Amino acid sequence: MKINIKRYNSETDLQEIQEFSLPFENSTLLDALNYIKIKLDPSLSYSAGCRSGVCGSCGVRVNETEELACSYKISEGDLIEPQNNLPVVRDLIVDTQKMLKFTRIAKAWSSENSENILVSEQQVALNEVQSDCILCGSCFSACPVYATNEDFIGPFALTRSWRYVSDVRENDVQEKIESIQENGIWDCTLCNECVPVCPQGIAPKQDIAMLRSKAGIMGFMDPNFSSGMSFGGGFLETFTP
Amino acid sequence: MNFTHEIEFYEQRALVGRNFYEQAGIKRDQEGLETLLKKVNYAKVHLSQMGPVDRSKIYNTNLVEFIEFSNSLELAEIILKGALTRKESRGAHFREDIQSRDDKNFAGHTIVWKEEADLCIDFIV
Repeated sequence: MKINIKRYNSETDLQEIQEFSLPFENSTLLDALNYIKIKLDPSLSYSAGCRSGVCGSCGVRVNETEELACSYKISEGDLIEPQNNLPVVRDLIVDTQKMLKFTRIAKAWSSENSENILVSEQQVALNEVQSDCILCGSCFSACPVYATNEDFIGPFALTRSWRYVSDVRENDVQEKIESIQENGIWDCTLCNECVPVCPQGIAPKQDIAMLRSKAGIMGFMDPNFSSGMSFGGGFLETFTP
Repeated sequence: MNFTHEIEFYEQRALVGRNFYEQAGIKRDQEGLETLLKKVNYAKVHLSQMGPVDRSKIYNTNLVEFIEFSNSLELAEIILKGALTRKESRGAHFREDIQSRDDKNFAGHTIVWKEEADLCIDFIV
């Protein structure tokens, strides 16, 4: 079986697609990468950890769709590339600092816990799925908004934000909602690209929609509507009062 | 030290791993442990001929895996010498050749230290 891997070396700035022949079929992509590294080309670079879909280290793109290398079964002629929207360090390895930076901007953490609060099973269920995030970056890579807005907080950090905003123990929700107004929830196009690629069944688009309603209830508004229904440089600008 | 690439360390890594599973698992005996120790020593002695192929300074996982392999050989020797010196069976350390427990000599932690290049083993009883 043959698979193609996009190689990149930042020392030489060389980029090429290299074909590798494998003497087996029915294997995961990670096993194939390991075979290539051990038997064919030790310079092939990729990240991996647990080998069982738990750690989220081996996110890559296969035929332009985000996958975990350890969970994906290879097919003839597959094209393997590094994730989108992040700087490539080498071959399939990307620098995730940019993605993690957005969790800081969104203040997507537990900041102030209420005291003496009892959490019911239903309340735990509110963000159980979002808590399962393994930080693989698939949603971040699939998001098309980055093509036009480099500063978009993005599906990864926004899902994380909803995980804490929806937590009944969280006292400072206001601060979190405020920090995702600019380049945040209103800049998402709700295109749904981030939903099917999540290996954990998280739906960032849905979480962003939840954050929008929460923000609406708290008195925040979509800036695209407040500036005269322009939809961000859209077609109704002549109607601006 | 100058590292050449005459022996593939990935093959040695697989070999040591497989042999450890078979001969230094829960059931072990003196003969198996000694054979294994020879293989580990072979790898340690020839380490300078097993250098990484990849010479890049950027995210060199070939080099990282080589360093990990080199460290695992240090630990392998400690495990094997500890198991050889502990002439009794206790919990997950089951010596097929010495199946009884010996609290008088071995009811305590194994202490390992280095003198020059030699490993020294003692037990805190």
